[in-house]
Amino acid sequence: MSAEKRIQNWILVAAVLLLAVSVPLYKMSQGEPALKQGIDLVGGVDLLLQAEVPEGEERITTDMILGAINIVRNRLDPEGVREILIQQLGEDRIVVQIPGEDDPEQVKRMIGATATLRFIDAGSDPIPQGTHIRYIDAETGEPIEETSFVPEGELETAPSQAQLLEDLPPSVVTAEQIIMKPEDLVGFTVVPSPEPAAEGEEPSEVALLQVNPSPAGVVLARHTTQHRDEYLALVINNRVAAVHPITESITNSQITWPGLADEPGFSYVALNENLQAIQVVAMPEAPEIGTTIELFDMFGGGGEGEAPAEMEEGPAWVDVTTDKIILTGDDFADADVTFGQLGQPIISFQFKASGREIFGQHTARNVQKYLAIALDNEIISCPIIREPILQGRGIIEGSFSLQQAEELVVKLDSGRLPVPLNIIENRTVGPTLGKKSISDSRSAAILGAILILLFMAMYYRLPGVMADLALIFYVAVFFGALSVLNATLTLPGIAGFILSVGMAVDANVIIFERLKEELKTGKTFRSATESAFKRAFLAIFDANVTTLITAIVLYNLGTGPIRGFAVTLSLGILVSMFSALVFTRLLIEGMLGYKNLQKYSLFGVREADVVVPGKGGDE
Amino acid sequence: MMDFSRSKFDIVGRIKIWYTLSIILIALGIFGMVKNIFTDGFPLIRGIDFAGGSIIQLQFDNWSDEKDTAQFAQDVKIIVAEYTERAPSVQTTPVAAEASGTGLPALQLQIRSDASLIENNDAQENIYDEIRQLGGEFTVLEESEVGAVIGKELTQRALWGVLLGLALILVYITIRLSFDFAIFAVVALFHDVLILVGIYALFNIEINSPFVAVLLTVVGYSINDTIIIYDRIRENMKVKRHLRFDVMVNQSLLETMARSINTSVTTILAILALLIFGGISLRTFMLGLGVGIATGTYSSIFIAATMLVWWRMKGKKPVGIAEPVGAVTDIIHEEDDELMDLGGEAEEEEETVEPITVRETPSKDKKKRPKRRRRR
Repeated sequence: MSAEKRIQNWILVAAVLLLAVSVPLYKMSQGEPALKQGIDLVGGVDLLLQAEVPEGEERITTDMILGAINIVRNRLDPEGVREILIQQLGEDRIVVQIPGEDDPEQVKRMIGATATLRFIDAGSDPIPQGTHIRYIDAETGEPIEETSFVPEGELETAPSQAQLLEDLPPSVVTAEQIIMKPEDLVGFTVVPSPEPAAEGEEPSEVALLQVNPSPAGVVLARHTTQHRDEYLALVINNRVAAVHPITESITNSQITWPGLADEPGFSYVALNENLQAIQVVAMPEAPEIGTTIELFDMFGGGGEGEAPAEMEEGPAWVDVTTDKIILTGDDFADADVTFGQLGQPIISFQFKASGREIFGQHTARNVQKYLAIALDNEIISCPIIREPILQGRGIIEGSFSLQQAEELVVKLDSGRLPVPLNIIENRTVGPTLGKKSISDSRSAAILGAILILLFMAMYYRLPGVMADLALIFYVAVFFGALSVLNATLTLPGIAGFILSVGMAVDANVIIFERLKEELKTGKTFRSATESAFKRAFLAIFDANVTTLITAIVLYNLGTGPIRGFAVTLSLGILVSMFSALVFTRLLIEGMLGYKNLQKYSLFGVREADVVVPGKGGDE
Repeated sequence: MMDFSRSKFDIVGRIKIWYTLSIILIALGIFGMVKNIFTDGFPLIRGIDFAGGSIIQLQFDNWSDEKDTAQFAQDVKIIVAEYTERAPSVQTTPVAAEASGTGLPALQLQIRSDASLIENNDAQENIYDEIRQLGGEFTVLEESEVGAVIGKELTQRALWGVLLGLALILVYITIRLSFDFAIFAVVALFHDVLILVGIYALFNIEINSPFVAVLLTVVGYSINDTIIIYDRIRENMKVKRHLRFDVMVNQSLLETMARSINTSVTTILAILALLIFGGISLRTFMLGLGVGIATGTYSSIFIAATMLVWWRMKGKKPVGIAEPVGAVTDIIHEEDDELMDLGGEAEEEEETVEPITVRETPSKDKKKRPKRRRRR
């Protein structure tokens, strides 16, 4: 190497070393880790999600995946401060890696649910926040299982309602028994009784309760067809006011109540203005007039007062027929947290054009009524409609904290996943296991490194010590490069690193074996060094290129940990070639500047083996 | 360490020994694979990464010695079996008080099943509840579940990876050296892969995704090692044209022997350190790498190079350097030019290699003389 070239190379080496050392130091000064560590090292959750073709679509588009990635990111990391890796893999898969996370269940809950936002007409009674919903198909009257809340433990295995109800008085009714709620009712009319009045008495009157033809009328028709010989009770303020024996199917959306007029204190006019107090309850046995009806609570165990708190808070789950759903998350455009006049957090929102019209009509008709907002099958808020919202904008006021408001906005904004996601691979490593394996492996790696350094120094003497310096340089540059590339260190990555250390050593071994051979031919130290490096170059180059080929194949075909291995191996090969061919050479040539270091013994060559040119000529 | 380049040890003449040794090792491995095919339907024991399934690893802190661990494992098996078709495997590992991290003796429990235990949330929660009742509170060390689809994909990817890697290496060596060099490098590679896979099969070591990394690393290392030796043969083909091919190859092997041994020794030192002192999760990985590097070194010397001699000297003089080297050095048969053929590409390289050997020495004559003298 010419002196000029040598200076160039020294500058190159210094620049590489400077970059490799300064980037990790800079990162550390910013409070970031110099090198990210994989799930297998620090623990955490690693999930592979498979997107499924949504109903009505033919295939999964990139937009859908990107949309899903955004939503998953919003749900897992709304503030954008956590170190979460969410990446598309292939066409229809998403990788989610959360180092340090130790609650995989929560992560899966947040990702797994294809959350759907629904705006529900709650009528005049607010549904408490946190209430679960069972969606009932308005057409068939059947619960929609996929989207509905399923009570803890499956109904088949848990004691059935019937069993629980057996020992309870008939006055305890379930939510399903309430077949008409106030919002289903139209009003009362009074007509003369169709039965002829007895002699000398005034013709009696019956009360006709009109219900909405749909869906209440449909429900009524079905119920009366299926439950012949059972009873319907008119419940006013939780008291049975009248009983209708089911003798035939009611198809005209009105229920006849005989004897209602006899009850004191009821006036039809008053009732028509106070329909909210009225429910119609299906009863298998005829209840006594005046019985107080209690609502059976699945979680409280019945009307025994075992769980009074639950009872006071209202039912833990309510039925919502699908025709009560006004809008879904699909109609939603945007939501934000703003602050009200008193500084309380409120949520402003905006609908898409499609939703604006529907929402305008609904709010115009339902001022002072409640609007329930449900995420999947849980009520997250139930604001009152203060005025018609015609512009598709509005605010949600509620008793939420700033944090709750922000979470709600995230949920509203993130809306619905464009594609259903299934977890097809889950790797969760507890933080304990990760820490143990990294501390074990770290000390083992240090031990291995010391063994290699000792071996090199003892076997190759002075060049060996130079090679050791080159190896230390190699390790520094290697980790620096990983930090520059923002790569994540994993266990297979460490293995790849060890292998590349082996190759870095190999490059030096090849050079020094060559150097010894060249010295034995009687060359000067300088020319021996020159030809040793030149000759070793081809061997090192070919050998490393073939290994690089396998590393590249590995990277392209592998996933996750295998890729990490391939990256560290490739990087290791490149850095090791640089360190052996450039840095080691500079060190050795620099050393040869000192005449008293030019001794055969320092290079592991016996003087007797050296053939002095000119002397060996005579045979 | 002894100076191998001065030794006259005949490697290429003892191919019967090397090949017998290799065939025995490979045959043992094939026996292991056949045995596995009969018992399991697949030559290797597939872990969840390949076969799909779940692994749950729990640690019970403060596990007193009085508790019946075997009975506990049996009970856990029964609990889990309710959710799976095939009986799960349950393993317990006691952890000494010093190693548990809490200062109290602990117990690690590993549940493995080919069925989904984790994504089927009911199963996981119920199993955890029931185990908690039996064994007390625990911490989750690991939960893994891989869908069967992923396992199939991994198998395919591994196969494609190896095949593609081999094809590319074949092309590269053919370009750099010649086609028969490439073929025997790949034969040596198959030799290493077969022995490695055979050891996994014979000792029933489970394969998971790191196995693919081990396999391809061994492929990479083996080829790396072979190339270094081929490179020396390539060089000696030009520098030592007066030597008979087999003699020259043997000489090349001895010249590179110190390097071969030193490199594998240092690499194996590092692997050994991680194998003995590293985390448990690294162990099978490191074992595979160690075996692969040992066979890789062996096959480069004793298979790849000797097969080259066998192929190029087919039907010619008996293989070996039994005769005194000097007696044959000056005999150059006409056929030997053919033997020394490196193909078109290599001819071009002569431009880069030759000048070094000529320019650095005072004269070609002087360079040759010491070599002859040394051999006498």
